[in-house]
Amino acid sequence: MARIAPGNTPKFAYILLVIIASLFLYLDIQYKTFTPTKNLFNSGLLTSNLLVKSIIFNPIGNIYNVTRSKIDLVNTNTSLLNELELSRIENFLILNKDELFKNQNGLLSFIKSSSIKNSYELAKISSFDTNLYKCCDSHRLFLFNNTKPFQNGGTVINSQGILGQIASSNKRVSEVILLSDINHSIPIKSNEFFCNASGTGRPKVIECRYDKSLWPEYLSEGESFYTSGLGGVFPEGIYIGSVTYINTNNESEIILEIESKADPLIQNHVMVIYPDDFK
Amino acid sequence: MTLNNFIKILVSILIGVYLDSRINFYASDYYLSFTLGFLIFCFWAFSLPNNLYALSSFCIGLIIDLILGCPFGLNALLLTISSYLIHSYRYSFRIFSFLQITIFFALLSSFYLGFINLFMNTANFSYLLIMFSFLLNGLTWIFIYLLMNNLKKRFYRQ
Repeated sequence: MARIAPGNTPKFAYILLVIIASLFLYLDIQYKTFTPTKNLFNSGLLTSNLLVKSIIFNPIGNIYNVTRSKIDLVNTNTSLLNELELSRIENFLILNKDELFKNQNGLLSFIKSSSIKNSYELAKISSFDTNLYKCCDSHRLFLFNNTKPFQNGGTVINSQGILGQIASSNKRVSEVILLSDINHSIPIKSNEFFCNASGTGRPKVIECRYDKSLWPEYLSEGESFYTSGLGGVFPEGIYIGSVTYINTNNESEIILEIESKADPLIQNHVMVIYPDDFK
Repeated sequence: MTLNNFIKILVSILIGVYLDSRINFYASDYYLSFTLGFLIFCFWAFSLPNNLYALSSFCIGLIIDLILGCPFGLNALLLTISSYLIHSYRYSFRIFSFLQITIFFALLSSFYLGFINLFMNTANFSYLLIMFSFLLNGLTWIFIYLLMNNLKKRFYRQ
């Protein structure tokens, strides 16, 4: 039988680097020490990506379009698509104006008011790691800032409903934590039933856990849930989604799985809104 | 190892990582997850045992962490440990058959995937995904080995 031949792998360097890597990992998970570094790297990557696109790829693409005399058509098409996306979001706002702007005289007066710049902003998605969205617990997307960074806590919606809220911002981009992110929680209600729904780490799925003895009434699949407005971050009465599965395996606890209506994969533009009492 | 060779190795691994993120978006629906970037790293550590040591593995891991937005140090830790394992067995590989080597790297990639999921997908950790991916990455290793051997002969100069 063959013996394993002795190697001369230098163990010290490996042990030292494993300790350093573990330390990095601990600091990042526990204290988020490297988050600014990662954000800086991300924004640098995005900027260089944009520069490369605008300097190299777009001119090449444009030459092709010019030779086909279609450049105007392509631009018009792109702007129309953008307009369509924005109007979809605005339609959503108009449809939900009673819930969104309960304390003012409808959307028009709201838009005309001086607080418009602080309360309603359109934004373009700068990057969204769809692989991470489908595989892992962390569901984040990044928005390009407009003239200034978005305020933390702003509600992010698209034409289908609430996607999440602004978690952090730097000079160039703002990070949005989605409803399905495992660290996110949103107060929701269905008729008289209130609960805090937390993200599950699965796309579009959030869950409500409650004690059976505290709420004996039966909730059925298909039941609709809306934002409750408690906490003051999300506006009240916006449709979130409906119950798709009720887990009653645990004797004391019931878990409602709610599929959110809003899909972050469908649009490149979103809207950031701030509730009336947002400071 | 020269800087030129390090860049070649890094670029090949980053291409693998990029393809991972593209393919896994669809593959995760079927409880499958590719680890192309990791397998390419394993190939380089396996075929150049005297060149790709601890520090290079650590640096490559940190770069992957930055690009993927993983917890900082996770890939650095896993790649350094994997590099150590591969180096410890580098003489034993000479008496291993290709099937044994394939099983070794499929196991290693399953551990890698398991640890990544342990940190990044705690709520929905799936053993099924690890099992299926073991088979998938075994098959992928064969493909990577043949492809990278070819590329190594063409582009890599000692």
